[in-house]
Parts: sequence; C-alpha cells; structure tokens
Amino acid sequence: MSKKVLIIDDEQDVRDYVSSLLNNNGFETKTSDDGVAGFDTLQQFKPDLVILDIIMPNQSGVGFYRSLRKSDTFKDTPVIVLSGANRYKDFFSTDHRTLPQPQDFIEKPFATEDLLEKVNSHIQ
Amino acid sequence: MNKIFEQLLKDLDDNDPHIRFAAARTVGELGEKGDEIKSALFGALKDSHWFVRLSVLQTIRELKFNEDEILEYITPLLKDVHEDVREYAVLTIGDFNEKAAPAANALAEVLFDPVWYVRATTAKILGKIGKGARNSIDRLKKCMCNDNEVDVCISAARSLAKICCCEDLEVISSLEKIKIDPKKPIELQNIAEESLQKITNQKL
Repeated sequence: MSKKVLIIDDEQDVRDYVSSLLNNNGFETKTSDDGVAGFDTLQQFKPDLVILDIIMPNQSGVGFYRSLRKSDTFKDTPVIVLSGANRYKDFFSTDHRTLPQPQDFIEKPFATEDLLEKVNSHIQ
Repeated sequence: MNKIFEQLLKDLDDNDPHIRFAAARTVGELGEKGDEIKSALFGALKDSHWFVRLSVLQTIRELKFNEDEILEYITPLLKDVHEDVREYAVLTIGDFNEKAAPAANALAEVLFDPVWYVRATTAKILGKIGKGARNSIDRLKKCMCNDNEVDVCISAARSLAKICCCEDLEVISSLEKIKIDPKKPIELQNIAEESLQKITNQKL
C-alpha cells in the first residue's frame, strides 16, 4: 500500500509540483491551500506525513502544526516544514511550550532530491 | 549609523513583505538597538502582513528594550487580527514577570481569545506576573473550570497557584471540585491538587 502525504501550501504551483513529484515516486497525495481546510483533509485522509507551508491565509502553518500535535490521532505524524526562508523556523520556537519541533525544514526553492530524501527518511 | 543599518532600515520599508521580514530578523541577529533602529522597529509593528509583525516582535523581544517601551508598544498587539502575533505579544510582555503588572488587565481580556493556544499562553503569563494580576483571578477561575481545551484549564490552574492565597475561597472551592470530578482529565485533577496545596499555604 502506498504511503500517504498531505501537502498544505497556499501556492498552487507548489502543491502541483510537490504532489506530482511524490506521485511519480510511489506516494499517494492530497493537497490543501490553508491550515483550516488542511485539518479537515488531514482527518479524512490520515496521511503518513505532512508537508507544511508556514505563511498562509486563514491559519498559518504554525497554528495547523499546534492543532496537529494536540490531536491524539495525529500527534506523532511527521511534519516537514516547507518555507521560503530558514528564518521562519523561529516561528516554531518552543521556549514557552512543550511541543516538539517539526521533523525537518526545507527551504524554497528546493532540489527535488532533497525533498524526496527527507520524505523517505521521515515517513513511517 | 553604518551602511548596513542604513540598508536594513530601507529594507524595513520595502514593498516586498518577505524583504521586510528578513530585514527585521537581521536587525535582531545583529543586536543593534540604537534610537533610529528602535523607532523603525516599533513603527514596523503596524506592518500589513502578519508574519512581518511577528518577526518584528521576535526581534524586539530579543533586543530587550525596557519594560515601559515594551508595554506601550506591544500591549495594543494583544488585539492583533492574527493569533500568532497576539500570542507572541503575550510572551513578550511576560518576559517582565511581575513588572508586567500594568498590562495584567489587558492580558485578562485575552483569556477570552478565540484561539486556544493564545488563551493557554495568556493564562501562563498571568501566573508569571503573580500577585500583580489579582484582578484576573475571576477570569482565570472561569478558564480553569469551563474552557474546552485542557491545556488552557491546566495553565489557569497553575497560574492561580501563583496568584491566589488562602483567603481566595472561591478559587479553593473550584479546585476542590475539579480535584474529585471524574469527568475532568486526570492531569487537570492532579494540577488542581498541587495548586490547592500551594494556595492554602499562602497568605495575602
């Protein structure tokens, strides 16, 4: 059975590109364009890994991530943050809470082999 | 001011929000807090993009300006439209512990925030303020008893232990009820018991 990846990014090009890349490498994918809709899709699709953008309308990737980690069902789902700059890691600062950091960060633009390597290494 | 900071100040005003974001973080990394930089940063708190406001807040927090300036400029961000900005404003104010008491009333309003992690962080910060947040006791008690997110209830219970004393009988009564309520999560019951012990040993 194919491993499942949920891609949450407000940019259509990114969703299409990453989805196509992963599909061509044997993964089943679903996409969402924001954190709120993404959580609904998460609950229906039950992915093995989430690729998550940070800067999105409605709910930022940080808000989605916190809800994910609070959920009994999805708290251990690996997350790779895909963002425009590594500095966005600061948004996941855990100095005031006990949430674990996302499994990995990858900066846009990215090399396809880097993304694939990270997905393969983190997916359960 | 050297050329680097001149450029950073221009970048803080750039048309591209991602450049403004990067400029704000770079200022934080360089650690410069002169008057011109300070003025530009506080001005950038009104940026139209939430992630720029958040990055400016992070930089302001790192640069550790004095509490009067922080409370004046950051307190309005407790009503920001974006939840992550509101939460970070709470955290920044909380760095001053008991000296943040002038912001306690404004923080108490944030206990009704629609986003759970903003409420949870606010409840925690009111505890850091301590006795100076006594006006928030009633709202913290309501959070502890009625919030539908256990993290908020736990934060509120812990903070009440730092703010209340043996004369706060309503809080004591609420904690006693939670302690024995089988419908409450075990973790909350345990925290209620700990908080009860601390409060009953504290005088006003």
